[in-house]
Amino acid sequence: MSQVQADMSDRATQWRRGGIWVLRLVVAGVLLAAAAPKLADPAAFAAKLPNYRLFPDVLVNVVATTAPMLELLAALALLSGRLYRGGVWLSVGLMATFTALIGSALARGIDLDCGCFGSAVQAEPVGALDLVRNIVLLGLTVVLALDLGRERAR
Amino acid sequence: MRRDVRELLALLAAGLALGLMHLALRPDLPWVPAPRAEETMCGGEAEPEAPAAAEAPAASFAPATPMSSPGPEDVQ
Repeated sequence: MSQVQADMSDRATQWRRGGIWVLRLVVAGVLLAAAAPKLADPAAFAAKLPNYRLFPDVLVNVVATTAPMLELLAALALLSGRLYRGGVWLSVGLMATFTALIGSALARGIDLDCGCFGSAVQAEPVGALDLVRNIVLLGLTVVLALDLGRERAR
Repeated sequence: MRRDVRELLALLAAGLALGLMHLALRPDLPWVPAPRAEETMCGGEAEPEAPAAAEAPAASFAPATPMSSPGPEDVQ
């Protein structure tokens, strides 16, 4: 490999790493923004969960405290690099779950407030925009997961 | 792959443990909530359904009330 090719490859690797860092920051920021208000006021989040008509009453409060804790841990793993690989897969799982929940509510015509960011944002009925937002976020986490495979292959 | 699964399980276990601890420390959140009325964006709580017997007219054997004005065939 010539020197020019080696330089270009190094530059591409640097760009890719920079892009991955930006993705990590974006996904971790969204997860932190979603977790903080729900951790501060889990009762408000718990009040919104039954509207999905999916969770049994016994699980509502457990989900209301556990889900934001998982979001917080995923964000910290993405930011700190500790348990990074697990954090990426946890982010993928969380985003896939949230996307499925919103899609399911839309498909059934339930006009609920998704509670995605707790009570930090004004309550609005969940809509197609929320679904698109979640699909985009899911795509970002999948890119991070694909990058894990690339790191392993190198 | 095995490392990925191990780290994911560690994070899931930590999240579950911390979540349950958070729930235990919140006196306003019982482990099993009381059943509550459904709340939607359409306007507050859903009204409970009235019993069908209340809406149905009472059965009666009284003769039907006549119409206020006779029809053309009645006039003939």
